[in-house]
Amino acid sequence: MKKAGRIAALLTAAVFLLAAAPPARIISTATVELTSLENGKLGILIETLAEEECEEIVNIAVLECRQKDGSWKEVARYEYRAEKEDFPTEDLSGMTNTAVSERQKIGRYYRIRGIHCAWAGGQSQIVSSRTEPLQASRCSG
Amino acid sequence: MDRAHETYNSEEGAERLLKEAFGVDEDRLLGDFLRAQTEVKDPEILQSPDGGFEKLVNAIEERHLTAAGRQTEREEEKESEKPLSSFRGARRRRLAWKAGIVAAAVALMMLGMAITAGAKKNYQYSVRQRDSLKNDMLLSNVDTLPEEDRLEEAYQEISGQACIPVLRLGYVPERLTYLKTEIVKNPVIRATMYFRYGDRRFHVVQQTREAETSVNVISDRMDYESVYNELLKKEIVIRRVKTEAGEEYSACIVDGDSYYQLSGGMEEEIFRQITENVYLEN
Repeated sequence: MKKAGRIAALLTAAVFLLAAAPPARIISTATVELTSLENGKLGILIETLAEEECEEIVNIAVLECRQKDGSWKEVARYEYRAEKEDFPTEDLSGMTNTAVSERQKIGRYYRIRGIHCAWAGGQSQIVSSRTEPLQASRCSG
Repeated sequence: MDRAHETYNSEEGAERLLKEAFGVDEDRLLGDFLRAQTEVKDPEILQSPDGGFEKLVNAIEERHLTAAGRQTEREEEKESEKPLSSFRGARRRRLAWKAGIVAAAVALMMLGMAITAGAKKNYQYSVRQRDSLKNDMLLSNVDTLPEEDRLEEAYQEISGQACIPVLRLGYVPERLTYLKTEIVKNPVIRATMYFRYGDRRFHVVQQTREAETSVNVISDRMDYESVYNELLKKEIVIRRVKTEAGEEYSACIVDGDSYYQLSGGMEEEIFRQITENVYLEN
């Protein structure tokens, strides 16, 4: 009984220490960008720059549309993944991805939520980003 | 009249001796000496004709003996021609001055040659050093020179593909190594340049906005200081964050529809120098 209590105490301490430990800092800059192009096209850019070479980087750009009640609904999701083993000779300290979403409703507001994930030295970091709402238009700019 | 003629002959004689010995006049000799001090090249160094130096020394000695003989005669005459003593003194001084000129010319010539040889050696040494330094640079920077070329190629590529004024690094620290550039053109034109600084990374983002855009840049860096870039005529805010790996800095530059961002982990002074020396090439 005493042994079980000691193990529980150790586990609690370990969880506490893990929770108290500062998060790893791998990501230097996380950028997400939404551009209104012509005829309801939306340009999307997501970029993650790390302060060191990473084992893996994942960029997720979520395109959301504002509903009449003010809530946001996901209409498209773009996921990009790069692993060091796939690019052994190339530096993997950042990743930039772009996409164009077509046939969005003209006049409606959209935004991008970015999720930037990086793994390095056995640690990971996830950073969120989000653009301001942007109206899909018939004409560019 | 005779004395005047003799004085004239003495002057003529000194110049003639120099001309016979070296084939040039004393002005030229002095000029050559001065030029020799400023490291002339071998072909330009005045070359004495064979036996010229010995000929000159013999002639001077002969002249000196003759002058000494004449001086003895004059000293004898001095007793009987007191009124002419001041004139003779002046003439002796002129003769001594002339002899001094010749001796000085010889000494200068010899010294000049010695200095020239020394200077030439130094010159050659320094040239070798320079050449050696250049070669050393070429050899020791075998890894970096192609990177400089690659960096130049990257600037050209950004300029050609992105069609935006390219932000160039006017100051490239020794430890900064260019890695690669990624250019995306759709929907926005954006070039991200990757550098390595020791174990850390340095990025230069160059982007132009042609349409209505919303951008969100997330980082934990906070405003730290501002520096003035003379080339851009802009005050640029530097942001900083202290991390376990060291300090990290970033700076953003907006120029019309284009914006540029520098970010990376390095020493404050190095980042400041980079920021102060970036420029836009149109």
